[in-house]
Amino acid sequence: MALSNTAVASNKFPTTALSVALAVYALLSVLFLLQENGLLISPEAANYLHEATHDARHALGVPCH
Amino acid sequence: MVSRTLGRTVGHGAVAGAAAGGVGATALYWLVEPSIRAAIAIEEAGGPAGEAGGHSHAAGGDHAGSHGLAADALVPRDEQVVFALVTVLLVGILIGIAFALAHRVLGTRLPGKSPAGSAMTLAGLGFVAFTLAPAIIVPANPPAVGDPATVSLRAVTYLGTIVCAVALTTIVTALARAKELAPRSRAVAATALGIVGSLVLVWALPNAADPVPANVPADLVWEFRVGSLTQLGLMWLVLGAVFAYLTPSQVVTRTSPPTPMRIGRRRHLQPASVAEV
Ligand SMILES: [Zn+2]
Repeated sequence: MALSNTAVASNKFPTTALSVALAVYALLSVLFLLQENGLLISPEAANYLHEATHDARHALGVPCH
Repeated sequence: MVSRTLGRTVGHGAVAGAAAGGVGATALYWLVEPSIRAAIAIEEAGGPAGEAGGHSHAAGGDHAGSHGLAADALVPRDEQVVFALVTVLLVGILIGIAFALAHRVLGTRLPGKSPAGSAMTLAGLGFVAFTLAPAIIVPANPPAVGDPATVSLRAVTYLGTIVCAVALTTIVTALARAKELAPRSRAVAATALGIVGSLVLVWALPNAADPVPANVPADLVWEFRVGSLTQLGLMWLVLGAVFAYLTPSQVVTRTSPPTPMRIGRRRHLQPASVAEV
């Protein structure tokens, strides 16, 4: 990434954009893990995920049933 | 710009997040699980004829029969506990990665005299915006308390609170560091905005918290909330501390020659090229 000074300079914006995108992606993954209600996966799978992550969801303070 | 590659930032974030997740999982096991167990026992005892909250599961459609009812549980109780620990670990890693990237992007705009110091500051701000604020507006509840009918409102309020709290925290922090103002006015303005902003948020956000049903002891809810907050507080603390430990202390500007990573690490060397913090 930081091969030379010019590389750093010209890469600065894409790196920032990539960082922001990755951070948002990580946060969305957390949301998926804790609040997936059958939006992206089948209801059965969502139900299983919901039950598997259930104690963690409560402990992390995320609203549940 | 902190002198490490993007991959390294993500790696350090993941390691710090895994440490936070590990500590969080331990805290969950020792501090929160006992209350969850007690709450599930109450849930199972209270049938449709039970007290105020006892009806929730029987009436809860897709939720019915779940949450540890031994016979027809989708995920057995002991597996649920293991999954809980794994989930906390995963959430820790993902939050750690997001944290590291935020630290990288914000850089010297964060308060703190060194990247390690600003990592601790960011963890503190993260605790306030992502944990404390939603805990005040929509407090954490053990199973047996929530009403399935209000879960959507609570979830939206929870996320909305985090978004508003992140915005307020950002503005207050920026105001506290505004170069245009004299140091004293900065402090007064930031404090005033913090207080007024918090009051406005508490007033404006929907009152979505469910009442605690009569068959759930207040002690149990209290213990659960203290346990949950302790777990989350520990996670932010460990995340900030481990990330700070891994962070190279030199902030290299674009014009300075490349500096070997290890030299000056955590030694608070402040070369002339270090950006003013
Ligand atoms: Zn639940």
